[in-house]
Amino acid sequence: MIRVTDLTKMYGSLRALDGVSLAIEKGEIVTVIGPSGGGKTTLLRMIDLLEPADHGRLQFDSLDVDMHRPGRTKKLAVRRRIGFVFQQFNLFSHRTVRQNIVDVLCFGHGWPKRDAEAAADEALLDVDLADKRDAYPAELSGGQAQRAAIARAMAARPDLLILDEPTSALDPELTGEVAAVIRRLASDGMTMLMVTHHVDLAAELADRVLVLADGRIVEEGFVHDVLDNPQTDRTAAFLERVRPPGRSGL
Amino acid sequence: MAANAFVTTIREIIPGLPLTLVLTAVPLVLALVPGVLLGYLRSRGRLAYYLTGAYVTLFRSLPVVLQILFAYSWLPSLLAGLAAARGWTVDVFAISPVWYAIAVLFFNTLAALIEVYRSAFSAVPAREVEAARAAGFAESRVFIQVRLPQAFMFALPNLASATVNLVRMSALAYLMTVPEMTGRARMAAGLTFDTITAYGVLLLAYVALCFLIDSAYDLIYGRFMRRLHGTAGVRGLT
Repeated sequence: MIRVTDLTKMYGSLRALDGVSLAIEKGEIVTVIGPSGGGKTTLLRMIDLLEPADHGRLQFDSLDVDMHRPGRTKKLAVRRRIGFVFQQFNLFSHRTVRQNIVDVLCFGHGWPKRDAEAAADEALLDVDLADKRDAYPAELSGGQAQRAAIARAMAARPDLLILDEPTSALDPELTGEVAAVIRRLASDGMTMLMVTHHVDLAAELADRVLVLADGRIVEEGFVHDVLDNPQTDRTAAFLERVRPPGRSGL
Repeated sequence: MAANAFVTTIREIIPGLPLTLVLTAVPLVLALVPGVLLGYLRSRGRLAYYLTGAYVTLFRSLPVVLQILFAYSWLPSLLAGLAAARGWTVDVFAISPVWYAIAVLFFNTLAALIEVYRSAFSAVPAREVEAARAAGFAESRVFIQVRLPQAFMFALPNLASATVNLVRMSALAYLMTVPEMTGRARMAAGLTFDTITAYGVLLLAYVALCFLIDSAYDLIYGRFMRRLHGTAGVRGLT
């Protein structure tokens, strides 16, 4: 469904992404793990065309995009097919939870207001936030804000959901409620590309894992193969660091 | 005598209030849209930053009283000369000094608003702008739906200051014989020979007017407190 070829991005002399290629099939859940500064967030932002790449090609079904110069029309077309969930939620702080979703549907996707409101209410029910629909983001807990952000990203029924460390900004006790929503989306067959430090969640949900370090995919494969039996020292060292001591497998 | 002077002063000053309000409201309304646009550009591009910066610095460093004297004594002659040279049939000297005052106040308010909006636009969280882009908003929509309303919210306290400053600046229009509150208080002082009462009443009138303006802004700002700080913030203030 989505194929990225030879994606390269430099920040000055820093090679943030170095010839990254990946493919995601419909209904597949792919997790990206790896050390901080390895290029994970950059990869997600590049796929959503939020920043121009130095080089790279994106194929989204029949849509073929030059990631260096995507052009306005293709940029919007790609973004409208992707739901993006950010680490810091990034809700519009001047709008209520419901208005956040309605705005995205009306101004991002051109829906009529009435349809957008109905879809927003439905999306909030899905993430169990109907009672918070008129709250402002500043009035939500981190877990509620992230669930609202997921509802906002999902309301337009995107073809691909990108999640950038969706549980990293949350207290451990709030991580569970967000993980539950992601689990539900996974069981509904949503195609997902997720960056996470939450290796257990990756192990539970993902079909495949990519390990990104120094801007390169150093290892990829089926989730249990990579997590149980890493083939590179980079991956092994990373897993050692992020896993609680005394646990080797899942 | 003092009581008489007090009543006379009030009677003299009140008819000057509409002009003071006009000298405040007209420049403010005129400067609002260009202030937003230039403030936005100043927060974005390097060239726009320096160009608007030159304008802002110029008007900030020129004493307003000097601008008023320039506009009143030199500008009409300059315009009259220009009109004569071009064959225009405009009697420049018949133009009310109110217009010159409005022009001076407009240019100064615009300089203030450019800075107010520059800082307000800079305060809009980049991650919310990115969220809008990621959701498929066109750039014009990002501006209208995300940047502008948030910048307005952040700008409100400084807009209140700019408005109150404008009220105070408008007092200088008396130098152009514009009969706003200060001009009329001077007339009252001439009538009653009681300058202390005349300027005392004038002082109270300005304090009251600025208090009302501040309160109105507070009322508007209060509506945004929940969005900025949540209910805890609202409770903390009351």
